[in-house]
Amino acid sequence: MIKKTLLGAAFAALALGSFALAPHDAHASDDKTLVIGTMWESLPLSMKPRRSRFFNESEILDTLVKLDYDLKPVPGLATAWNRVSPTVWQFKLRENVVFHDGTKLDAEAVKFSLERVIALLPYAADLLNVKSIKAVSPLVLEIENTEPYAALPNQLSDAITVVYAKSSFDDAGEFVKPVGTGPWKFEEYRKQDRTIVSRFDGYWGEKPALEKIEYRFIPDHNSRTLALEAGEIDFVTNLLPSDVKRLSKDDDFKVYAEPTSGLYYGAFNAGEKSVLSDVRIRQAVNALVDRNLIVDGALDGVGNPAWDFFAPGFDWAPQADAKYKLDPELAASLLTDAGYEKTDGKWMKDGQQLTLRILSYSSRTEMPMITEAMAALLNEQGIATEIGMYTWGGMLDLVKQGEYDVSVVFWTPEMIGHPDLHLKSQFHSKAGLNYQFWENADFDAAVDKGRTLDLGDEQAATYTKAMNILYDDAPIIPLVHKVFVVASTSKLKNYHIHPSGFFFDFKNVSK
Amino acid sequence: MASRLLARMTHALILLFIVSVIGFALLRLMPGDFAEILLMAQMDGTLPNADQVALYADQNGLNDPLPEQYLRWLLALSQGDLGKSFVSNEPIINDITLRLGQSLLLAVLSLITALLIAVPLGILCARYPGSRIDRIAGMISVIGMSIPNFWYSLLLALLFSLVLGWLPTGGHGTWAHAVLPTLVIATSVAGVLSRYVRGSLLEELSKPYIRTAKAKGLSRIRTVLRHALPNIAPGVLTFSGMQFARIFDGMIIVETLFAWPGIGRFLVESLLNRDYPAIQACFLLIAASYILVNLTVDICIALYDPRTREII
Repeated sequence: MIKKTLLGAAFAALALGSFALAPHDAHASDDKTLVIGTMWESLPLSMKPRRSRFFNESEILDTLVKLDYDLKPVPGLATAWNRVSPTVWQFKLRENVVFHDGTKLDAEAVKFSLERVIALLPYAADLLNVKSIKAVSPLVLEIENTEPYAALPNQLSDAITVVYAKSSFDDAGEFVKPVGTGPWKFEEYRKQDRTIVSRFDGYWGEKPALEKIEYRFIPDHNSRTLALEAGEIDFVTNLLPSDVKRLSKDDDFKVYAEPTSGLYYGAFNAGEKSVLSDVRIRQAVNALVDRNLIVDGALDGVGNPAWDFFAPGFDWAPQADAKYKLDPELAASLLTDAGYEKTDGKWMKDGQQLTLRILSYSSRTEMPMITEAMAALLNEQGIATEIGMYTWGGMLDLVKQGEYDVSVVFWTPEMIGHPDLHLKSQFHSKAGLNYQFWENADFDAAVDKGRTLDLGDEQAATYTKAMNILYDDAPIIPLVHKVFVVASTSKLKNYHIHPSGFFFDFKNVSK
Repeated sequence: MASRLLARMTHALILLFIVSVIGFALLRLMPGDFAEILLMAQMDGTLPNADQVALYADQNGLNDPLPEQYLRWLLALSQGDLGKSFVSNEPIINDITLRLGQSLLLAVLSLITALLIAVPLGILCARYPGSRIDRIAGMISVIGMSIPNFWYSLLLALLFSLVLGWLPTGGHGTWAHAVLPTLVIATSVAGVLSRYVRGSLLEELSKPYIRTAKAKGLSRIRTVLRHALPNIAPGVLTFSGMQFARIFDGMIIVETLFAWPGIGRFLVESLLNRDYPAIQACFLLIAASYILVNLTVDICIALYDPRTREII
């Protein structure tokens, strides 16, 4: 052992020969600074990439409405809201709120910010459905929608709607830097390296215990965890499943895991270029894949098997009346109905084996593993597969042309705590993101109606109907409900995972 | 000699021209309508309508003949205008200046370190060919050449950052951050390089003048250092220049593992994001630096060794 250390030392000394060993910033963080290792670069100087999510998740900026730990809307910069007519919402703003630049938050400021966001980000206009925004009095903001829109308060919890101070933009109206009302003030951005925020003492809520947070960009998954173990960072996101197991056993670290309704699923091509245009085959595939094996085999158990679309256990998430289940007999009868015959363990028709072209993308670590696992399970059941791994954009090209049968993707539907966002943007026949060539008029009608209804029996019935259609017509195969995992040193206190998966909430955290 | 050198430089210029044409074509050949893609990037991914595309193409001269567009692009390029990134919508030159410096630093450090390891090791092996030292060094070289960098990087990080706690696991800014990435790239190059030094030195040592030197009573080490080594130096230099490709190869992986913001990682990110203008910029830079490095090596050798002035 001593010999090995000596050898290591000699080796290192040799390597260091040509360098002057300067002090580096490992182990540098004091107990008032939190250092976080992130997979994506936090881009504080650009609104566009990642849809401004960083401003919200780091709480440099606040939204009018926030989501609590049950994903229920709670006051943010607005303390109360009500509908004054079917298409008009009024928001009462919080008093005595100041921006980081010292200016006061009032209805005019919020109006300016929302209008700026809509002008700069076309996506926001679709999301918010806004006809006009009015400052009725200094603390009352009125938003008129183009149609009755019950989901607006939930949509106003989306990161894209964070409230920017005027000084966030230059004279030409272009974004310069984030100036907001949150507990954390943007301090410094070092390109490709880190983003630093500091405590804002004029914050309207309870003051954070920490003074400074550094978001350090470490793109490699192994290196990021290693940085935590070496004591360079206090907190790490996007762990590899294998690291989760290892760190859980180590007393120096805490692993936090919380189910979210983020869903990994196979999106079926229901268009004419695919065998999956036949609903019986879509249902059969759903009955043939054992999700438990995918979670255990591909994700080391970090995830929950998905037999339904929205994960169970969230009040806001509607459920179909039935769930998929592993049922090879049902699958066999469906495939036989569809004209297939099982010979030598293969499902054949006209001398050809039933074959699925499965696409996915590899930039998200777990995608290839989940895709391979699903394909292996299908092969075992007599369905052949051809897997293609691409970049996200490369996959999308093929998908848009309809040259695929299944594309394995991930979606986080819980960002706003309302079913509208995912159902409308992915499965509505007019949705910009619906590349599945799947159309169902009844589903469209249900989703279009659901967003106009207030919480209550009618809303619940409408969304249950939509979910039942999804279940019966099976445009997707749900695979895994994501379990959101982060880890920290054991010194960290009071951290809880926010189930939206996109909100750090470090206000109460100390170390 | 001057005319030969001029010819060599002309060759380099022709190569650079070809590279620039390919670089220009790279963007025009991407799938889809060029004007539409550019405009879409500026509109945060929303699909522009046909009128908007037509107007944009008109305003930006995208309907002009291709040679005209090429010249305009080249002129912009010479002023450092590499276009805007599809992803960040920022001028690519901002990223390039940050990353090129970081990559060059890493490349130079790696090459120097590789030479510092390879030359003494090569000499030692050539001095005692077939000995145990030679065989062990040979084995290490093969391991150095064949071990995958991503795995090796993690092993080094485990040892130096986690077990010993001497060096940071990643990032940049201080010298300590440079040690691990440099070491990984340097050792992968040093393996090949030391074999090359050994081989050419052995050949040199079998030449008659070495016997003469010995007969004169020169010590063995003096013979190697004063006579043999200077004679193989041009070859080693050329070979080192050719290792630039291997160094760059190493950077692509090492920069990601150690969060080092260089060109290699920029290329990977740009490819993943399909950021065509950024890919184009990387392609141009990498190709151009490869040409320039080899030209520089040739010039250095010409200055160093009068005989080769006739050859190049």
